Formats: sequence, structure tokens, C-alpha cells
Amino acid sequence: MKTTLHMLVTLVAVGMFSGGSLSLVNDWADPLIQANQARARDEAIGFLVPGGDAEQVVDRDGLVAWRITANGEVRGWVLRHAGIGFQDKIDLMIALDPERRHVCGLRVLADSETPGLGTWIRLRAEHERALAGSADRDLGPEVDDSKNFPLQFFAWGGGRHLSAAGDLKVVKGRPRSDLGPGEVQAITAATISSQAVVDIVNAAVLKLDALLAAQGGTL
Amino acid sequence: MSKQMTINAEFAKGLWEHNPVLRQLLGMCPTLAVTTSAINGVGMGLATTFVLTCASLMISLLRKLIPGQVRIASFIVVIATFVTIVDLTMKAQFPEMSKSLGAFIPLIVVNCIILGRAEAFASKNNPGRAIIDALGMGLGFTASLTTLGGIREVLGNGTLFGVQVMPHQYVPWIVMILPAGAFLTLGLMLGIYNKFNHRHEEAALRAARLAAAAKGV
Repeated sequence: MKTTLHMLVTLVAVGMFSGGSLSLVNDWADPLIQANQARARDEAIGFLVPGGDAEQVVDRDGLVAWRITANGEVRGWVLRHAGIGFQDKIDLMIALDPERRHVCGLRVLADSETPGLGTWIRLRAEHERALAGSADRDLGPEVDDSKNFPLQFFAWGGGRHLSAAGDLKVVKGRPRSDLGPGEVQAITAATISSQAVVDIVNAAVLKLDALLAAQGGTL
Repeated sequence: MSKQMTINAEFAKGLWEHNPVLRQLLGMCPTLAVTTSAINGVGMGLATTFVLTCASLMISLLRKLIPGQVRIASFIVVIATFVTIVDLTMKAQFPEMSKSLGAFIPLIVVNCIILGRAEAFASKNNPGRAIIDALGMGLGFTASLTTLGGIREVLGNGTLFGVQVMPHQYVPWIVMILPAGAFLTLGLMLGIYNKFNHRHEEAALRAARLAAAAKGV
């Protein structure tokens, strides 16, 4: 009886120590974690459609959408949607033009793709810097390199614009100069990751279209 | 003086002689999975060192109060508490590294090094020695993971801690960043470690024989 009581008291004391410590740490960390997530989201919106005010217009069925306006005019749309990648969830931010006809930007918020292969779905640091500093998003002629995979989703000055009709397809073994507005060149040896990104983009724009249609074309 | 030497030896044993990765082959899951870069090795190693040190201190302090029948359950709750503190702190202060290490931070709870040192050392020794042992083991683990991550990053990506170290003409060996690269690199590191130790032991044996022969003469 004495041993049982000793065991019980020990486990309760250890549990109370654990619960108390975690409660204190959580009180400190939670606002910081929320702020980090909000900062990453706001920074991604500002990067994808710069120079406007973001208004969240949709948060339904796993889709979050912001309308970006400046001086009363719509500058573009940013959608957040997630889907399954090669190993785990891929969380994407997708930019659309004001009329929602073209995809004009992509930012990966989270992924667990294979380092050195599937991770090429993320923008390379030098491209991110160049795009952030380019007002017209014109990086010159598009380089045919599968490591530049996400650049295909940006609106190129005078180049091709990917369709935002939910009909994007992944293609392999063809140069970018031969591709149409519904075709995305796959990353070499990471077709599943490339397909996952395209599926997420298609699903996001179709969901937004369906929500708009259900509400008579306005949000 | 002799006590100081003993404490030094206690600390140093985790760094080389009883290194958790190279000698004890403990914590192989994070060792192989997160070491795609040197910085991941440092992050994982330091997170494990923090948990190991705090858990060892707490378990050593409570060692006379915890009944044997519930010791493992109590140790796991203490370890899980510190792991959750590390997880929340990393998410709050180092969100990029937290994202990069992913599920392997919460999985420190089941890292054999921590429960192993708690059961084999901290629960039988005073808090001072428990901390020295935990720091030695933790830093030995960190050094091994950083070396493994560094080799894989240089060969698989051409960079070290994100800085380009290989010439631009170098074509990265992608296999080094994939799981196969982790097994290959760890295997080579274990081979070199064993070879070095074997030579060292042979030299010590030869010296002892010579000394014995000299005494006999």
C-alpha cells in the first residue's frame, strides 16, 4: 500500500511539474509562433503581389484567398492551398493576375521534399532576390533548367503566362520554348513533386472559381 | 587534482571513447535522417544536448525519490517535457531551422541516447557528474552529426554551412544528400574511427610489452 501510494505521488508530482512547465513555456512561445506564421504569410503576399493592400476574402475548404488592391483597383489575387507531395504536405501561396486568367507567382511556405531533387520546387535564393527587386518581374530570357522550375509560374515580360483555368499539365523531355500556357516542365528526377505542385495550383484556382460561381461572381 | 582528472575524463569519454554515434551507435534515426547539411547537424545536436543535460540533471536530482517501479515512466515524462520546451522554443525563435528539422525534434523523446544515459548514468550519480556526462555525450553527438552533415553537404551540394566551397564546375553528387549518402558516409566514418582506435590500442599494447620487457631485463 505504501509503495503504491509512493508510486502514485511520484507520477502525479512529475506530471504536475511537466504540465506546469509546458504551460509557462507555451504562454511565452505561442504569441511568437503566431507572429512568425503571420510574418511569413504577409511577406509571401507582399512578394507575390507587391505594392497593395491584402484583404482576406475566402477561408473555406482548405483554401484561403486574398484580394490585393491599390487605389481602389484590384492588383491581383493570392491563394493559399496545400496538398500531398512526395513525402508530406506541400503548402503553397499562388498569385493570380487581376482577371484571374494567369498564374503569376508561386511561393512554397512548407514542404518535406527530397533535398537536392524535389526541393527545387522552391525558388532559389538568387531568383527570389532578383524577382523582389524587379518591378516588372522581367528576368530576361527564360533559362531552360529544371532547377528553375518555380520560375515558370511567374509572369515573364514578353514570355509565356501559365493558364489559371485549372488545366495545367506536367510535361517531361521538352524544352520550355516548345511549351504552351497549360504546360509546366517537370523537374528532372522529381516528377512527383512537380506534379504535386501543379495539382495544388489547379485545385486552388478551381476551388476559387467554384466559390465565386456559387456567389454570383463576387466575393 | 585526481578528482579534476576524473571529471575531465567523464566529459571527454562522450566526445571520443564512448561517442554515442561512432562507438555506441545510438540515435541512428536522426543521425541518418537530418544530416543533409552541416547546420542541420548542429541544430539537431544542440537540441539533443539541451534535452540530455536538463533531463539528466532533473533525473539525478530526483533519483532517490522516484521508486524503481515507475522510474522509466517518470524519466519519459521528464524527457518529453524538455523536448516539448525545445520544440516550442525553436518554433518561436528559429522557425526556419524548426521547419528544416521537422518531426525529428519531437522524436528526440525516443532517442536512445537520452533514456540510455538517464537509466545508466544520471539515475546512479550526483547532479554534477550527470551534467558533465550529458554535456560530453551531447557534444560528442553534435560533433558527429555536424561532421556527417558537413561531408554530405560538401559532396552533395558543393557548400558548407551554406557557403560555396567547391568550384562552380563541380557537379554535386546528389546521392550524398539522399538516404544512401547518409549510410555510405556513416559507414566510412565508422571504418575510419575503428581503424584509428585499433591502431591506437595496438600502439598502447606494444608500448606496454616493451615496458614489461625492459623491466624483465
